[in-house]
Amino acid sequence: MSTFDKTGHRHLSAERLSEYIDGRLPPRDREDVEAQLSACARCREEADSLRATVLALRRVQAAPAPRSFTLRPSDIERTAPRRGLFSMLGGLRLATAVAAGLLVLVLAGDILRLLPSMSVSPSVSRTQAAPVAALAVPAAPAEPSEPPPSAAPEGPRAAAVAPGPTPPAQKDQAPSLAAAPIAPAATPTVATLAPSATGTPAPAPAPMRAAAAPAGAAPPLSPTPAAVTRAAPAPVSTPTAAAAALASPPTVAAPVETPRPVEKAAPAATATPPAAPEGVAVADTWNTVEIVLAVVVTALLIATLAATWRRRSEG
Amino acid sequence: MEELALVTRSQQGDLDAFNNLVLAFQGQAYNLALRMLGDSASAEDAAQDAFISAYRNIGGFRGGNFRAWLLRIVSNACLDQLRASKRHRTEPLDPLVLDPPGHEELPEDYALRQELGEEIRKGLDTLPPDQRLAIILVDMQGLDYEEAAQVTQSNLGTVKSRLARGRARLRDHLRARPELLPASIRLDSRRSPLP
Repeated sequence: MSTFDKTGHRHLSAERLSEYIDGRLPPRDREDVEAQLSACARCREEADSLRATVLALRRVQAAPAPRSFTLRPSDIERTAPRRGLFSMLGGLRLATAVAAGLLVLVLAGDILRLLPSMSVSPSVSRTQAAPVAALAVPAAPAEPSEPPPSAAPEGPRAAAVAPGPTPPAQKDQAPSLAAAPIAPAATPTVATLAPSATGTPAPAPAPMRAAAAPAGAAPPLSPTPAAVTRAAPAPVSTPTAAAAALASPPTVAAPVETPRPVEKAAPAATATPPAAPEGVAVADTWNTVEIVLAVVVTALLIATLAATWRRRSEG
Repeated sequence: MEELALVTRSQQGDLDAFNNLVLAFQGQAYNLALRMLGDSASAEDAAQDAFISAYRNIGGFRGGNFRAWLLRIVSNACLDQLRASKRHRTEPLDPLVLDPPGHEELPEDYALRQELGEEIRKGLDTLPPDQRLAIILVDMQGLDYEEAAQVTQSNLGTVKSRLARGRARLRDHLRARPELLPASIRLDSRRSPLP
């Protein structure tokens, strides 16, 4: 509670002197301080100047209140709805955050579900064709929670997706061929959902796009076959995907490419049930959840922004 | 009417009872805001906001020191305003006047008293808000350390240290005019209880 100067002399701290001036020190401490004050001119000057400051502060006149602050009933009512808006806004923000978090979780879960098959996918071109090919897997079998355990079942499954034109003998090419039509199916959906994502052909968004695809094909987003074919050049223009597609014999790739988009778009556009209906249904379980969440998040976001703007314009 | 009864009736939604409390404390609330914020327009806003907030939240007052509870709302309203305005002062500072001495005052002492008030006002404005708040509560409004700790929701040690640092800084500011502090001593002719 004391300070020392350069010469090592003890001086009373401002806090101790402050308490002393307020008469808040116990008798023993007060005596200590008084002994120090009588012995040290510097401490005395310190105490006197602090005391003069406190004395001046005590003389500060209270200003008269400029008006009465009594509340009228209108003061309470006027501000009550604003408070309601505040709490509504808080709830909206919370709901938006929760829904967005859920969406991220579901997307992450979907990607994780697909990841194991990506890592074991056959040696097509191991960059972009691999994840895209892997995405063909959930569309095929009716095993939603179980990721493919090894590379072995991969081939047949991927082949099962494209049953007609792809001969089982071409196992090594099957994934890339099945992959080709899925990518174009993905693009139009994403174009309606989030336009900014369309222009990025990076590997990372690829699974996301593909995952969102069948879901987008479900409700009102209407990816008609025309839209699919129109968007088809987009993924092809991404270098690796194109390379993967071209690496396979073009004659085989061509027939697969055309029926698949139609098959994908079928549930929404035309009511023609295609080859693997249960597989589509399984993927739709995930994808429906994703699309519903995306719509909910978008709606909540708009509502939150609207409420924020309304509040800003009001207050 | 007794304060406790007014508080109870206010908690039941009786606006007239609450307004009796407003009348009892509005001078102190306004002056706390005035010295925290420096100008009367901001202080009026802060006091008004604080009373509305107090009326709304009086259900959460669980007994104890009502004045400390109310002043806490006022000081929070002031701190909010200081944060929001980022010290971009648009209003001119209101004058700060010291009480005249109880005896005949020489003309030069009158001038020094005006100047002392002016310098205290400027010095307070340079203090960090927490130190300014401690000085206003204890030195200007006469709260003891315990009640000041309730208002600021801090402990006694924090109050003591903020008060001591604020006083020392203000003293340093006043020392720039060496005749001001002796004038303060002369003002206090009635022999205050200070040791």
